[in-house]
Amino acid sequence: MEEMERRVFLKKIVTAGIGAGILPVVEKALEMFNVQQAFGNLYGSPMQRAPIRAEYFYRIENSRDVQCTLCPHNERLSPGEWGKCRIRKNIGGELKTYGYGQPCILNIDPIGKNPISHFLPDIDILSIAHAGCNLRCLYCQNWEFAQKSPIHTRNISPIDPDRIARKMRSKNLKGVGFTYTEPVCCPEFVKEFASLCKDYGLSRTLCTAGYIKKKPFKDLLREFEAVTITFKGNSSRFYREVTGSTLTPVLSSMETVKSEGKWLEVATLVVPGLNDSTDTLEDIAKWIRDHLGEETPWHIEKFNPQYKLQKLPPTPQKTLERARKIGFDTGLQYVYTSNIAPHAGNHTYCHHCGKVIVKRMGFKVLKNLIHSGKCPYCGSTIPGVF
Amino acid sequence: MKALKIIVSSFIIICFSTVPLSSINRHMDEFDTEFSEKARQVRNLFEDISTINLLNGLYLSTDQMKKILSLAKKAQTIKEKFLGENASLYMNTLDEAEKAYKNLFNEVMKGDPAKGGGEIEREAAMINHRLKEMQDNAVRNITNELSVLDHELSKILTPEQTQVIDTFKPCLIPPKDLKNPVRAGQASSNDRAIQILRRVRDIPDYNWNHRKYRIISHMIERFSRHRYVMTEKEKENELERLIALFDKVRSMSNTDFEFEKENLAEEFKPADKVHELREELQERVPYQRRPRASKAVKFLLNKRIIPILQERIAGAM
Repeated sequence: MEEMERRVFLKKIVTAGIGAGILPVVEKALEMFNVQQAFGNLYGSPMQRAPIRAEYFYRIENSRDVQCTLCPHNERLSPGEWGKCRIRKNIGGELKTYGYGQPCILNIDPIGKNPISHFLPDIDILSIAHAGCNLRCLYCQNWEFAQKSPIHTRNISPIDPDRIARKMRSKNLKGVGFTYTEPVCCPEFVKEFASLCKDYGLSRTLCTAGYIKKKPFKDLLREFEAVTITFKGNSSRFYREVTGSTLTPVLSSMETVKSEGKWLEVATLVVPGLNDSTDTLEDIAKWIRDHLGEETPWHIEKFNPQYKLQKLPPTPQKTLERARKIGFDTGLQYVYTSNIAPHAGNHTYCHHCGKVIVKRMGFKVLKNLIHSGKCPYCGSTIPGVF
Repeated sequence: MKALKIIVSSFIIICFSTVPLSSINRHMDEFDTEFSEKARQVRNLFEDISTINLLNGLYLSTDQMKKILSLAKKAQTIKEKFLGENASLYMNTLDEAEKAYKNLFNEVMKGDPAKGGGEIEREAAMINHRLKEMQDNAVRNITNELSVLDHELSKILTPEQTQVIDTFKPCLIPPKDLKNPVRAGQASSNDRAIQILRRVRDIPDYNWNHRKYRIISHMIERFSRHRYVMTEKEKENELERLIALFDKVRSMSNTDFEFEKENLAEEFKPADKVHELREELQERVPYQRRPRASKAVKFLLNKRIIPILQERIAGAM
């Protein structure tokens, strides 16, 4: 190795140190003046597009703070501050949304994986998700994407929605599903892409935790045909401690979907020791029956240790079967068990004659006997869109 | 260099992830009774773990478990009865074989096996043939009797459970889709083959053009060393195939890659040549053609599943 003079060596060290120290400052300055678009991210992060102006916010008078009006967190953000969703940020007194047109996941899935069982059950859809979520579920199933900002994930960007829609057609995909993370946190892109899919005659489904204010949610729902909302627990305490949110807005969102005339299914991840007691499950089932109707499908999902709850055991099969029985005993007509396959709870049984009308292996439909929305055995109308 | 190491090691993991880990050397039996006893114990443990993995993936109801337990006991009775009824016959034949082989051994040692007009040889060959026939008959008879139970078992299991059993390979670590089926609302982008393809896409053009032959050849060499010995011609073909595949993967747009990644991952995985050869051997070599019990019978109606099911049923009560 070539020998280096002491003076030269020290000079190099000092230069490198100054350089490393100054980088974040320069980046911050660029961010303040919103010129990141011209230079890209200094650290070479996946951000390729500049953030766009967000919807649902207003500027606080005589201040550069903004008030976000998208979700019930009701955040007031000072310049440079990120929202809890890690997607929205106050840049120079304006709320900007990151990740627009930059999904981090594009997957081809059976629609049942949403989970949704009474909406065109045979079709495959394009599942799409961008990073970020306004909840902090301790058991987050997609924490690698949901608990990160779009500037820290590997994004498929920039995408051309028109090209994707055409590609979907060529792949015989009949719809698009916004799932995995929290689509309501990026309503700008979700609405635009769903609207484009509508023009192409593709079906649109949304899987969300429903933690969003009424007005933006109603705007979103206009573009969708079916929605799955995760009903995580029966108490505000559970929501506060396990998900970092509150229960009431979620209940309100479920009622909004119903009142807007969209198809709704409800999913509950049953976590041992947290929401697996008979009382909790009965409460959830009764609320669904009383406020959404007995025809609303309820998906009981098996928990697998994830994220911050790695030490809990997976949900035992017995618990899921007990929860399913509770659902039926409460009067719900369609109760499913998810994340265990093969299992009797994967299939759809006619609520009238009790015969299997859609046979499934997990989320894959093996046989769909429903004809024109009716049971082939007794002719009863099966709730949903078939 | 780092990329090369990651890609190659991931590739090897993919190759081995489908190999049953039944690597407890059966040749241990030859050495010592202590060794052979230990080897047997370890083999049994392997089989138990594998059975439990399968049971976990089947999500049997308590009622199904009870019915399977009853059939497993019946299967055990059939096997024991057959062995009991034929024990003296086997013992006699083995005695005769011992005598005939000893005679032949003595003649061979003297260096003149054909001394007795070939009579000793003929006798040893005959008894050897009779032993093989007895073994075949035993397998055939037991399999025939078990086929009745197989039919009953198929009524207990759902078609989906049968599908799981048919694709099951004995293993210590269950494959992802058995232990951990795709979950509602969970992105399944962790497929190792897809990860490798992503890494291949990430390599800058300059590095790729300079290193692709090295990376792929290294991959093939490792595969050939550990999994299936390839001829030079096969290696060449594999090299061509992988270069074409990787070049295609690298030239795709982000969107196209995301749409095609599952198919590309399938295309990337090497063919299971060992399985193909085994199938061919059974197809082409007549004495390899023995009646075989179904996988359901093999995995669920054996002696070792009985205590496991008993414990599970007790736990479910």
